[in-house]
Amino acid sequence: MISPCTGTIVSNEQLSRTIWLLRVEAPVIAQQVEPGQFVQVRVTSTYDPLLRTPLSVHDSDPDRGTIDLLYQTVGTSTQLLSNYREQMRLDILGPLGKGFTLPTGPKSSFALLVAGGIGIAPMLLLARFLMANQVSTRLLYGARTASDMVRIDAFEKLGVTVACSTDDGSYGVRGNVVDLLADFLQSGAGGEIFACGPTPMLKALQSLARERELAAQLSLEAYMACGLGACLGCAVAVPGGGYKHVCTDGPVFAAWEVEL
Amino acid sequence: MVVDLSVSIGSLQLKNPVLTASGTFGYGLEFRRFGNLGALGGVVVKGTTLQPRAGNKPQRIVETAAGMLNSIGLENPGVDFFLTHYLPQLRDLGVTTIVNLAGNTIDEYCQLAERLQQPGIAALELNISCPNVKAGGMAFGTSEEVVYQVVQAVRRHTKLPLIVKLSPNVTDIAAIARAAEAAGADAISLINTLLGMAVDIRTRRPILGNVVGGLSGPAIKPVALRMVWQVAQAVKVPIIGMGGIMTASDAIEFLLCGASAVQIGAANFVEPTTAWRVIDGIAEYLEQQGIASVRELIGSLQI
Repeated sequence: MISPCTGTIVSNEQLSRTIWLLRVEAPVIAQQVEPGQFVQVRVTSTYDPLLRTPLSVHDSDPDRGTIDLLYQTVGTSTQLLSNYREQMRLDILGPLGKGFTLPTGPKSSFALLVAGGIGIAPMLLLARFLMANQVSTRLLYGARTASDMVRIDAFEKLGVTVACSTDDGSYGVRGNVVDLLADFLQSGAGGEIFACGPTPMLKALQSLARERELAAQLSLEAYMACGLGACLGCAVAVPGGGYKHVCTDGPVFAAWEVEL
Repeated sequence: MVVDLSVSIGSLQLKNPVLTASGTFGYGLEFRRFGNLGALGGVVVKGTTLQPRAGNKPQRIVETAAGMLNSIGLENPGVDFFLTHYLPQLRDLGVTTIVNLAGNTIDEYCQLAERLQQPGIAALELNISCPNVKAGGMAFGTSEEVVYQVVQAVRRHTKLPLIVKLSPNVTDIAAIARAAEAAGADAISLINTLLGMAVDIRTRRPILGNVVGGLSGPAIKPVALRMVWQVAQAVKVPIIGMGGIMTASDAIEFLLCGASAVQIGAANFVEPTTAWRVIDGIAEYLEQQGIASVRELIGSLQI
């Protein structure tokens, strides 16, 4: 029987104006987690905020028994999370959801990771798994401005080739990350796409993938209560009508599976 | 000291007074990794309709102060899918299964009740907060006459214990409860969610895709307690209380106000082991207080 676990915080570091990196001891999750899965953290034992906060797992170290969560302070819950200090205990439930499907066979030996903003969060663990499977991995990473870009060094340390774009051109090329991807594909390169970011970005990427007939997996975000498939709050429309649920059918979907 | 946690809801015997509320615990199976479902007083499964329903357009959930609003829209795979896919598993696990049924016409409720006359189903819970299509979409549960009609009709189509789940969005909850009792309800459960709304000032739009939704969580507990207490004065049939129960002491408050059992709702989302913890907590309280049976608590509020 799995219970929500309580892990001791190893570190909680501010990386940019709004992005934080939290490392917490959670040995069972560290062992089990697959790239693209998420956890539900409870930031307070009081009733406000009431619900848990879903966060994708950024990295895991099964030997040390720790997981890393990369999060942006966007609301009350994430603000409260940024107040946690080392040695404090955090209530975590997970790993949850269906993560990325890793490519198998020589045909898909190139992976293109496309991240927009905090969509960088699930990409590091994915890159770690891909590199371990000898998949040549390239990260295309877009953000608003240079100071919002985090963790590039961690990807480079794994041997991932990184290309960046910023809206204001302060780092990498000026423009958005989907244009960066289109330019890259123009050069004749290919590979399976793994993407995470804001919905407009994923929508643009979805049509690009359709145009070029490329396989793409999208990691989605949704408001959810339970994360367990019970509340049915995190509905995402599917082509032809009806809904799937981000928490249990996803958060990762094949691009053709969902209507954004 | 061994305390007796068993209660009865009409002819329905429960091993303890803690059930999980419809729509907050899926079909129970989603929570089997957190505890033994057979140890719960019962599981009230997701609101079930005759035909599959896709549910409302997103956004379906929004967090509010000490609570949440939802407008799921009764998404469910339909009664036949429930009977073939979920019921056999619940039966095998020894779960006391109560099915919450929802219809848009009295005839739909009756058809559902007949389809659900199956081994492994312990009782029915009638969701009367649904819009009555033939009466212009006004909820069944808001009129004494309509409540009487729908309960009486369903009563004729089932031998199972019939629980009627009341909407709190009414002027006089006690009058509605009396109508349900007079029409043959074996028990009353309350409260369903309170109708609410949330607004985004940046976009100047309602946050929920459905504009309005149902409020649940600790924010509604005082309202729920008051309504349970009022209904307990008004009817003789047993009451199942719910609304914002997070802990055993919350549950005990409902028992004192006259509920014979309780349902855990939004708390399942926050802490999936809540129902089991509440059972343990009630037992602990009885031991500490030297009370032999949980039945002694029911309605024992001193005014």
